[in-house]
Formats: sequence, structure tokens, C-alpha cells
Amino acid sequence: MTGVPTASHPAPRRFGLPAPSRVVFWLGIGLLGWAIVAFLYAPLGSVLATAFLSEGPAMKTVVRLAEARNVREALWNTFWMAGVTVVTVNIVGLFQVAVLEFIRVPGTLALRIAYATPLVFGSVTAITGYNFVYGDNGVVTEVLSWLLPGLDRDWFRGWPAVLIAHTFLMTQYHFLFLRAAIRRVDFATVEAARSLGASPIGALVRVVLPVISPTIFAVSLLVLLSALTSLAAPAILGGREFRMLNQMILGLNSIRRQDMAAMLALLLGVISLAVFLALRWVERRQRYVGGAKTPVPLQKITLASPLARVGVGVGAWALFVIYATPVVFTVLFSFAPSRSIALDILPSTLTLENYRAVLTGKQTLEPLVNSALMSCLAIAIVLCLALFACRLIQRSRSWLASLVEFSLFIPWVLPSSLVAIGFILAYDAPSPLIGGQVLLGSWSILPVAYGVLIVPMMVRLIGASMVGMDHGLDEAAQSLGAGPLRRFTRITLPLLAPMLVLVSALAFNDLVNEYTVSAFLYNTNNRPLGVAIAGLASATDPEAQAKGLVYATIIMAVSFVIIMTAERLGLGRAPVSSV
Amino acid sequence: MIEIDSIDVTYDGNRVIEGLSLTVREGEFFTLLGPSGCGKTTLLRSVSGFVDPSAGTIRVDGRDVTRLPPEDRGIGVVFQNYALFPHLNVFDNVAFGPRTAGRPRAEVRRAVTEALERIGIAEHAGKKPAELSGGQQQRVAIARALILGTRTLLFDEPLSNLDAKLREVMRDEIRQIQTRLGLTVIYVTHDQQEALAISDRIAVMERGRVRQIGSPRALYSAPENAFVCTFMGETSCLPPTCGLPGLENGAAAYVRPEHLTLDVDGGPGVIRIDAEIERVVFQGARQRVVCRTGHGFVTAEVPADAPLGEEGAPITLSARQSDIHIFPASTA
Repeated sequence: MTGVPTASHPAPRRFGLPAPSRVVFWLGIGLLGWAIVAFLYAPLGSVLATAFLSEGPAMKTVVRLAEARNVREALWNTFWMAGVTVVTVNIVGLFQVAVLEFIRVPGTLALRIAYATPLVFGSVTAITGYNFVYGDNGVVTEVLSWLLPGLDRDWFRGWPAVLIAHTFLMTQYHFLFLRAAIRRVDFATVEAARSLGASPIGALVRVVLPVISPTIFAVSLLVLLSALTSLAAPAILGGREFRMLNQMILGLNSIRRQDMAAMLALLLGVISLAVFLALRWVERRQRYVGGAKTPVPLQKITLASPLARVGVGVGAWALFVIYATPVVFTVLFSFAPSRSIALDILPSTLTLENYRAVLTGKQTLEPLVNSALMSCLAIAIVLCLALFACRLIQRSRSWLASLVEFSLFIPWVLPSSLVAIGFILAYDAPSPLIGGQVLLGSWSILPVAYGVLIVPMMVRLIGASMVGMDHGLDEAAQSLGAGPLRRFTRITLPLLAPMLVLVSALAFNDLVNEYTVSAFLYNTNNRPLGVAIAGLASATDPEAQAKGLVYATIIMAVSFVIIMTAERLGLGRAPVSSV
Repeated sequence: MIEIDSIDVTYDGNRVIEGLSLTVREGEFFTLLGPSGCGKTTLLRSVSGFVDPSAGTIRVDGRDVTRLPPEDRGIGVVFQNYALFPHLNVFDNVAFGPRTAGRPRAEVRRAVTEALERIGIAEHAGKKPAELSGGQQQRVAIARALILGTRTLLFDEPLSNLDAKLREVMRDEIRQIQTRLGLTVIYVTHDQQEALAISDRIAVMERGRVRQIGSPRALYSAPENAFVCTFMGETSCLPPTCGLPGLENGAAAYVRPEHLTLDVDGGPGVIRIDAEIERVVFQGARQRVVCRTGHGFVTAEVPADAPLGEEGAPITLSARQSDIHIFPASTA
């Protein structure tokens, strides 16, 4: 195709759509517009209105917040914890990437599997697992107090525990994105540096690191965002003395100080927006582009000094132990008899009794069913809307399409707690936007909010695969007489199907692990898995602990299958929220 | 028969095609040829219906299709890369059109089987496009485009992604099918060798306008302007000092390499050019001599055994005046 403008942007046609397509089109526009107004703009507007208008002048709320010592403390905790987390995660993450991709260390495959565990063992599940092995009755504490008899059994508590959990659970971005970046480095540049006298580590520091520095910065911003909005880690591990911002918002909301909660959520939103804009800036900034036509793939180097070799090897395998322990013991003890959970370092026998109890007990099965049902419902609805929206965005260059695109990406910038507060404020009373219903306290509030959380991810991935589709196929169908509806159902949809299944699976993975929005919005009708697991996390009763371990193992198994499939199809990505 | 009558196509305020008219005769193999961005694909897409002309009319077999959407035009299109539906097998690809038209199941089966047999790919009916060779894919694409009974077929650079050898085979196959079925074809390409080999007539396009329409032979031997002359095959611009009458007013004279010979004898109607050998490129049966004149370079193609001097040696070339194309400055 050589006509310049035709290749990428076919001129929009003036001909009207045939009748059935027109009905579907306007129905879709109507539904999409209503969903955007009711579930994106109305909650956001309510947060702004409550923060700035409801209780007198906004300054008063700000002053009252500033006067509260615990709010000040939580703010300070959040900021320093986020900052320190970025540093510690980078230390661990860069070391991981170096070990996996650059330095020859024995047992890379096992290390890679261990370092990949945060992908399937994340959020509230992982925090529970950490609490289980490092907590006062945990196996690690058991071993440590045998080694150091004077150890306080409750050592895994407060800010050190939160920092440890952050440090090891937020390395997923390094694992995914930094490894990909380092693989694109032209190894010939490393060899050139070596030939000019640089040592292997010198070459890594002076040649490889500068080339991947934009990715390191981008990954650091993602970690910063995760740490700022962390909820499960401080809630389960922080104890009384260490609280973070999202906990304050949750707490203020529960004592009906929604104006203050809204103000703090907005603060978090503004910070997230700033970080997001910084990310965009990094993305757009010019990258180092190698001039090589045939870049030489990165080859691993052997460290010359035996001391360094041993040091790196020990460090790598120490990380292996740290990553593997919580996962292994969570899975292992989910098969242990409950008295063994309380007493043994290793299970005395293995049994399926815990699984039987969870899957047959009405109360214990409920969170599983709730989460699965609500996630599937949210995914199904968002899938339909996203398909329609993506087609609209792709085909039309009108202001309406641009507005839809902009609107659907808003939740990307919003912290989950802000979304949740928005839903509470907008729908705690009958609202004409949803036919005079009250959403707060109803079953459907969670699936709707879940839908908001996954919209940006689904629109982006579906949109990308639509753009990647050969436009000629659609035109070929059109030249064979197929109208818009038939082309969509017979060509576009079947071609997108594998991608749609995968995007849905990824969204499902995010939603069954979801904790923040769930913690804000759940009620007795719809208690989801994340909330149930968090509730069991601090239980001392072995029966309850066993249930938590079974939940965690089931989630891990589901995540594992989903992530592996995604990885195989080249769609590896991090979940929406990490801790 | 396809009649295009003074159509305009505008993109974002830029006029890509301006007042273009041409007629493709019944059963003719008609090629749109031109460099990238000349508007040939846009013109083809106006005929297929994917581009909406802002003025003018397009008639196919007497029917005005200008305002019809592509799905209602009944014109077959063979796309670049063929655009076979990757999720459907060969049979279902070919059956897509008749099924969309709501033809009865038995009729679809019969028509598709027949079409597949006619183009010799019946044994591959159950295969997915990815399992077919390039040649087989092209046949499926043609079968799919023809099954609704159209007599008009449009090709949008179908061979542009194939290697040189396969291109030639496929080109001949397209021509055979067209002749056998008596189809009216518009074929878009930027490859002049391909256009010369396959077409009944060629329209050479430049910047949204047709510069010349004619048979391949006519375009090559009697170009009407400098653009067509230089675009179709290789040419050298002769120096204004070569003694040719009519070059005084900025007009340019062009000659093809095979018409420049080593100076054997002068005589009436022959001009001579004094030059210096710049380099000699051996090509097997022939050799090309690039020569420096006072005003640039000219290239001659001579037999491989012709005696030539060293690089830098003086050389005298000659050409018959009847082989030289002279265009006034305004037509360049």
C-alpha cells in the first residue's frame, strides 16, 4: 500500500450504518456513557465535593487533619516507608537481575523460579504467608529462637516487618521489566568496555547500568506507587505503633469522618498523579538506542575473584531461601492436620482434611464463591464495554472517542482507596444515577468497583491487540459483503478471542487477590477472599490458620496457572496491586 | 468496464487525487503504476469503496457505485499480503462471501468445492492459511474474491512481499487466470518491470495525476513526458552540447543505455557525444559503461566483448536521433 494516508488511517466513510448496527451502536454509546458518568465521574465528584464543600471551608478539614497526631504520624510513616522501600527494593531487585542475567551463578533455574514467586504470591496472600512463617509462632521464628535464645518471639512486627515484606514482595517489576531491558543491551558494548580495561563488574556498572537507567527509574516509580498505597502489609504486620496513610483513610471512613477520609484519599491521588506523570515523562524521554544492526545477546560473565564468586552465590541462595520459605510452608501446612500447625516445624502427616473442610463448609466456601462470582461478573461486563470502547476509539477520531479513551484511563491514576471512598460517598444514599438505589451495603457494590479497577488494564491490552490486528482482514470481509456487525462477530471477535481469554484471566488474578477496595466496600453479603484471608491472618486458632493457608494455596495455584499461560503467550505483566 | 470520471480525493485538507478520469475496458488488464505516494493505492481504494471521493463518479459496468459502501459494490479485491482470515481454513475463507450473502448451505458447499477445484487447491481445503505456501495463499485469495461471481477484480500490490523468483511465477499465474476467466482487472504496483510484463495497458501516475496511459510498448518507446521516460526503464540525460537541435530553450533529451553505442560510424541522423570512461561494470553478456561528459554522466550498454579503454580514457558514443526523447522544460 503506498498511498500515504491510507495505510494507517482509512478515511472515515460518510455512509450511514445499517439499521441493526446502528441500534447496537447507540445502545453501546448510551451504556458506556452512563457507566462512565455513574461509576467514574460521580464518585470522583463526590470525593471532591466532600473534601472541599461539606464540612465548611476545606481549610478547616486540612487544619483538623494536620492537628491530629496519628494522621501526621501516618503521613510521615507513609513517606519514609515509601522512600526506603524504593531503596531496598532496588538493592534486592538489581541484585536479582544481575544474578539471573549477567553473572554466572549455579542453579539459575531454581533462583528464577524463587524470584518469580511475588508474581503469584502477592498482596494479602503473601502478607499472610509471611506472617505465618516469620510471626511469633512461625517456623522461622522457631528456628531463630533456637539459634538465638534471647530473641523476642514477636520480632516480626511494626515497621521492620512492613519494610521486609515490601522489600521482598515488590521486586516483581524488576523481575518483569528490568530483565527485559537488560536483555536488549548489546553485549558487544560490554566486550568493548572489557577490551578497554574494565572489569566485569566495572562493565556492568559503567556500561550496562546507564543504558537501562530509564527502566530502573520507571520501575522505581512503580515501586514508589505500590509502597505509598500499601494497605495489607501495615494492616496485618504493622501492629498498633506503625500505621500508614491507607489505614488512616480506612479508619476515618469507619468512624464516619468521610470529609477527612476524602481529603487524605485526594492527597494520595495527587501524589499518585504526580508519580504517574513522572512515569509518562520517563517513557517519552529519549532512550539510549544502540546503533548495532545485529546486537549481540547478553552473555553471562564469570567473576574472577573466588571471594566475590562465593559472596554472590551465597547472597543469591539466601534470597532463594527468603522467597521460597513462606511459599513452601504455606502450601505444606495447608495439607497438615491443624494440631500440627500449632506444634510442628514440619507437618507430621499430610491430609486433605483442611481442603475438605473449607470446600464443604458453607461459611468457609462463601468467600471463595463470592470472589469468583463478583470477579467474573465484573470481568464479563467490563469485557463487553471495553470491546465496544476500543472499537470506537480505534475507528473514530472524534472528540467523543477521545473523551471515552481519557475517561477509561482515569482509574489508572487513582489509588484504590480513592475509588472506594468515591463509591461510599456517591452511593451511600439513593441516587438517581442508578435508578434511586443505594449501592453501599449491597452485594453489587464490589463487582462494580472491581470493574472500575480493571477497566484501564483491559482497555489498554484489548486496544493494543486491536491495533495490532491486520486491518486488511476487516476490509477483505467488507469487500465480500459483510456489514459492521457481521465483521465484528465473525472476524474481529474470533481473532481477538485468545487475547480476550487471557486478559480476563489476568484481571481475574488481580481481583481474587484484591484487598484495598474489598476492605473498604465489603459487607456481610459479599465478604471476598482477600478480606477473609486478612481476617484469618492474625488468628491464633490452628483451625482458622488452616483455612487461611488453604485459601492462600488455592489463590496461588490459580495465579500460577494464569501467569504461566500469560508468560507463554508473551504477555507477562505485574498485577494491579502488589501489597 | 470501469469508468472513473473526474474524481477528487482529499485527506485532512490535502488533495491526494485531483480531477482524475480514466476508463478500464471490459476484460482488460489495467495497471496503475507510480512511485510511493502517487495516489495509485488511493485510486484503487476509491474503486473498491474504502476511500470516499469528495467529487466525481465511479461506474462499474454502467452502475454508479460512488456512494455505495464496499460491501454492496460486488467488486473482488485481492489485498496486499492477501488478508486471508487466519482463524478460518481454506474452505471457510472462500465460503465467507456466499455465507454472508445468506446462500443455502448446499449451494455454498458446491460453489466453494468447485472454485477450489478450478484453481487447483481442493486438497488443501481443510488447511489454515498459515500452512499454505505463498502461491497457494494467492490462489485462495483470488478464489475468495471471485466466488460471488464478480467480473471485476482489484489487486493491491499482491506480490510486493515475495522474493524475486516467486514474484515472476505468481505474476504469470495472475495473468493466466485473468485471461482464462476474461476478468476486468485493475492492478496496483510500483514495480515497472512487473507492470511491463503483465499489463494490457498502464496508467503512470505522479502526485495524484495520470501522466500517461498506454500499452507497455508505447510507454517504453514513446513516453510523452520526462517523468514517464525516466520512470519507465533507465535513461541518461544528454548534455545540451551534444549538437541536438531543439535543446536551446531548456529542453531535456533522454536516451536509454541500449540505444547508446560505441562510435562506429557517424552518418545522417546520428549524434556523437565525447566523454571519458568513469567506470565499467561487467554484467555477463553485456557491460555497462558509465561515462563522464561535461554535464554529468551517461550510461551505455555494450556487448561484453566490445573493446574499451582504461578508466579515464576518452570515448565517443553515438545515438540515433530517432531513439532520443526530447521534452520541453515544462513537461519535466
